[in-house]
Amino acid sequence: MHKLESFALSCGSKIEKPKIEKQFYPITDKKFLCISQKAEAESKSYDFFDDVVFHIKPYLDKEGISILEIGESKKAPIFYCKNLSHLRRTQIAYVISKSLMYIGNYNLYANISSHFNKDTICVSNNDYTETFRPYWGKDNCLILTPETEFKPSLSPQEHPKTINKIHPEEVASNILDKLNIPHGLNKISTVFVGEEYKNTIIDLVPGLFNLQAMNVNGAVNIRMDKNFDLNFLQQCSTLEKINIVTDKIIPVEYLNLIKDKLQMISFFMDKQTTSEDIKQLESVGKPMNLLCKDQKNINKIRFKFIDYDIKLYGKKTKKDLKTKTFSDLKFLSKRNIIANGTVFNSYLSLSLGTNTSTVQDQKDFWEDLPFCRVFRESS
Amino acid sequence: MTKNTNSKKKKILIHSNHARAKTGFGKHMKHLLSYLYKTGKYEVVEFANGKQWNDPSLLNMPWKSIGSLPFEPEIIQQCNADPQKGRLASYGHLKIDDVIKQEKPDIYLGIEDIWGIEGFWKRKWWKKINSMIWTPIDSLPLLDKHTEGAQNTENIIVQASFAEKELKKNGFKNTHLFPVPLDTSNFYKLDDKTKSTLRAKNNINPNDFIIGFVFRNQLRKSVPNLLEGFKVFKEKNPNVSAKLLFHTHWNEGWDIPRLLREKNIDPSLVLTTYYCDKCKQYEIKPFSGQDLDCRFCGSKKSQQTAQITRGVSEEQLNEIYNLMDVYTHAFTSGGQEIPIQEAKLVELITLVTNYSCGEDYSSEESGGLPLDWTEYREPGTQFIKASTSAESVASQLEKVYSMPIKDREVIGKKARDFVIDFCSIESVCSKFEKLIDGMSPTEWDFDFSYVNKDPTYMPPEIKDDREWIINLYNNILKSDAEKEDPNGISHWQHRLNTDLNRQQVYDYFVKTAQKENSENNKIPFEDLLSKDDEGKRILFVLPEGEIDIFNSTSLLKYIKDNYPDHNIYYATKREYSDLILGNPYVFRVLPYDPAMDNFAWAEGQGAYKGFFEFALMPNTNTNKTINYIHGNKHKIEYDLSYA
Repeated sequence: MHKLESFALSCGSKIEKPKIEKQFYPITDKKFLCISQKAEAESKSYDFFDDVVFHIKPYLDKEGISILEIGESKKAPIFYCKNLSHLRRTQIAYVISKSLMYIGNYNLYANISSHFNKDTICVSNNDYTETFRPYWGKDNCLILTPETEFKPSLSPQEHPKTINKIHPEEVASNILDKLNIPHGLNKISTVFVGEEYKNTIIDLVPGLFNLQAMNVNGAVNIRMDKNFDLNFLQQCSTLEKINIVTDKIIPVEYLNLIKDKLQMISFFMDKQTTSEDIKQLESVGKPMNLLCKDQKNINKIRFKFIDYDIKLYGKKTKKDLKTKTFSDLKFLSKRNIIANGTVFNSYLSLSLGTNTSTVQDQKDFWEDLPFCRVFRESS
Repeated sequence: MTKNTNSKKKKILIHSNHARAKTGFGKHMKHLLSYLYKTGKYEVVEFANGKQWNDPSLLNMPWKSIGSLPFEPEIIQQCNADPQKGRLASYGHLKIDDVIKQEKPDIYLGIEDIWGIEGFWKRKWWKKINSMIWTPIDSLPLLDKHTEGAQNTENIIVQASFAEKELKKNGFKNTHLFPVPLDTSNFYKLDDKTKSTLRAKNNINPNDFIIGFVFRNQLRKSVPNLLEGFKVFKEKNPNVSAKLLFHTHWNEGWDIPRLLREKNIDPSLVLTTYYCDKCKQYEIKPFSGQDLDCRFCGSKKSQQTAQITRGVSEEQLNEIYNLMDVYTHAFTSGGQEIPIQEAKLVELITLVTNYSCGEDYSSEESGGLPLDWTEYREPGTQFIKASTSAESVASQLEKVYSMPIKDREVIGKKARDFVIDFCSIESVCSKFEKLIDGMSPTEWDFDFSYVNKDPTYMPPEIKDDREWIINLYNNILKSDAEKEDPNGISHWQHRLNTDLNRQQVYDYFVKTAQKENSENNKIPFEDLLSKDDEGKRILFVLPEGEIDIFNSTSLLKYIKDNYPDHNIYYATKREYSDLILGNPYVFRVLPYDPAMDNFAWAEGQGAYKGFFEFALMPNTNTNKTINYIHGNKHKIEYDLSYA
């Protein structure tokens, strides 16, 4: 039974049409879609709208269709979208009424859009969608859900999130179909999504370049494990938030220079690490993230440092992609690597000296893999 | 007792448990009210905790009696939803202002633990009338609540001299020592022949040395210490036929059989009272479980050890005391411990832990013997508590046992005289009568109207801190602080000298003024409703969920079409009101309150009319109890569409 029917039975009422005020808001775009990341719970919040937009944008551009993001969300704004997340509900109702369609998480706007008889595509986690789908637009509303053998968790938190099992190309393909725009997205299929892919990350590899000129904002991982350069570290005091990743001990006097900005120290341990090393890092008084790449000896190291929580820093390999051919594989990464005064999308690109989106069977790429979405694009 | 001669009677409002309640506070209330009522000098009003404001049974009291629990359904609903509010309601906090406003007493007396009265001294009326607290204090150090209460109260009454001493030591000269008034007529020494008959009836040998303890089986009663003391006594005096008599319930508090096993004490040496619920007779015998068959009436499983709710009469309890040769009362602390006084009235020598109220009842002049103790601290409260010395129990028992009978009788008589002089109704209440006779009638007009504070006030340049603070009190809080809150002035002076600057103090006053204004200028709910639609109002309640609220707007047309002359009031949280904005079927949007989830609040119940003809609450059986999922499969066949 739909929840609204339960409302109606409880009230002894029948169901007509809903009502909501539409409050004018000036929009210059002639043709546009509305997209929203607003969700009732974290488990109902899709993490890959950036990818959806990445796939549909070229087609929409050709048609002169723009994308407006509506509704508040804790997430960063979606790439390439005009941000109208500050609008009130009644203004959003007006904007939706003027749009071509609504895409996004299941929320109030999906219901308003469907009520306005607009094409509506929502993504949902594994849930009882028949009980809450937009009531008035059974034909115009498509709810995409993941395929799973499990019953709905009904939990506001899911680990991993079932909603993320929906591949971005599937969402993108349905959007273009609804808009009657021919496309080739059926040639794209997601092969792998790294567990860190949903997060935008900035890695800063120390080197001889002007850090100020890079205009870096937000939290930054300073990869001292990639290039142990204490002079560079001194320059980093101008950054907002710093996480240090290192496999060597950094003298306390250097750490004190950036102490106010320092959020965490990630330290790669090995058999040579001593308790004095750990105490020295601890003396700064910041949270520690102790890592170990040595899977063979990690238990010995854990035993030696019994009071500490040491995590295995697992590496991905080509086996994780579960494919034999790599030539038709492409990747997207949300990790920005700043090195040598240039921004790279991966350590693979850094090693090549130029940005690439083609998967290559190289050691650097397997380190990148947890931060990537890999998809096959057949010709 | 002094008889009334004045034409204008002083009105005394006494607030505690209802006088018919079988509790310590209830008996206190009964004795005090009865005494004052009998003088004819006063207009006595009882404000009874545990009774609803308009409880009809209160009409049958000889004096005016008003319940302190609210009767308004919306407040009851709030109390049910909020345990803290419910707790305050049980102590009369929600109706105290109403009763003061209605009764306009000259004197208010609150008889309660301090946390039950806490904060009354901040109420508008407290310092305008003669307000008093009569409260038990059983442990040291004093709580902040005690100190604050004493600071703000003209007269504070305590029940034990150790508490009186401590308060006076802290500078509260307004402290009085009045124990709980005790009806001394029920407890007395029986003649030897009757006592012998009673012993025989209960299979107690004439030569048995019976050591009694009457108590509710709570952990603050030092049963293990007493058992250990008894054991030591027995070891030292193996030829003495000594037995303990525990008049208590064995199914709560201490696991006494286990303690006996642990201490290797013969269970047959510990007697207890069994009471038959059917024939109301008791017998004394060793403990052998609960639900025993009664030898008097033959009822099956009707005998249990004595309990608070079903137990012996006062007359029977007097007989039980008369079976004892000595009375012991070992505890960690206590406010008054009525059984000690009852035992003294029966002319028993009382062995009492010499801490808290025990200081009064273990002294030589009280006919008692002190039990030594060592200090420990109660976790959490950090109160000093007493651990009674087993050696001391044993040595004092030995002292009584070896005492010639005549000497025991002399001390026993002294004990009885002490209680009559110190705790009897006549003794205590006459002192209280004298105290209230010295009080002036209230001249206050009982104007409870709220005076708006002025958060916009800017103080002039005043050098002296004290003067500056008084200026803030007068002009921002509109309070005569020198009279009403002298401690507040000192507090802020101290803060200015230590950790705050003037700007911070000023900001605090402004914030307080704003808060009080917003709390006191609330619009009554009735004022949110139209005056013209009484009897034609429908309440639609949906507190939250923007999708739900949006969807629910599709139900309103049908309702309005079916009740065209009714107004629909839509109740929701403020942040969702824009979703109802401009809805043609909604007459007014109301701010949601949890009380609205109770249909009786909205629609009325009994004499309470409510506000609406009916209330629709779709939230209840969808979001509160999810009952519509049906496996995502089952669909309803009814045609619910309304075109």
